[in-house]
Amino acid sequence: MRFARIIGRVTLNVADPAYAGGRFLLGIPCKPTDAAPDKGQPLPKGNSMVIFDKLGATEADLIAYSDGGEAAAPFAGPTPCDAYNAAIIDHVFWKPTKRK
Amino acid sequence: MCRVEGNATSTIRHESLKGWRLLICQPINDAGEDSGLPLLTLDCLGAGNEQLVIVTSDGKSVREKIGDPHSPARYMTIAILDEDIGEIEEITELEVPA
Repeated sequence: MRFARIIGRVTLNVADPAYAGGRFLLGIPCKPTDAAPDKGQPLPKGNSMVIFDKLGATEADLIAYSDGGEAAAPFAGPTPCDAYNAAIIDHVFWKPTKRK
Repeated sequence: MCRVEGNATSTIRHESLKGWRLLICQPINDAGEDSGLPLLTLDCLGAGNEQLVIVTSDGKSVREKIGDPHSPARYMTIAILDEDIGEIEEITELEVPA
């Protein structure tokens, strides 16, 4: 999985029946400690992506999402899905190694 | 190859991920420099901070290891390196054993 910060959601009326029970969120891939948007910090750089969510993540949450083929694995049948919210992160201990 | 740089905790996660340790692994290149954003990997080896690990991105084998064909997991640590081999120097001469 990779880290992403939720910055919004996508609403729609007509969707593939496989998406029933879930929703789509807008997230930006980020480092584990990139600040939440509601803290007044600039958003992480990068392209935002639409992430399917069944866990109930909300704006400013840090999540772990799966991308690629694994994003479609949780669905019962073949389903077009590029990113799937696998976990809502509560706490991170991250100590990047310092470079010379 | 990745360097372990931390761990993460999560209460609300996919059913298949419950009970698994989540490690933050930074992919590195041959020179040991960071390469891309950190990954969140499943760990069953007990890897610690600053250790070098080999991470698989083969989702199918990870799902088999977890035992859930519908798991969204993709990355898992499969080996801990004993030591950093460092940069590989160019070999210019080879001695042929007698």
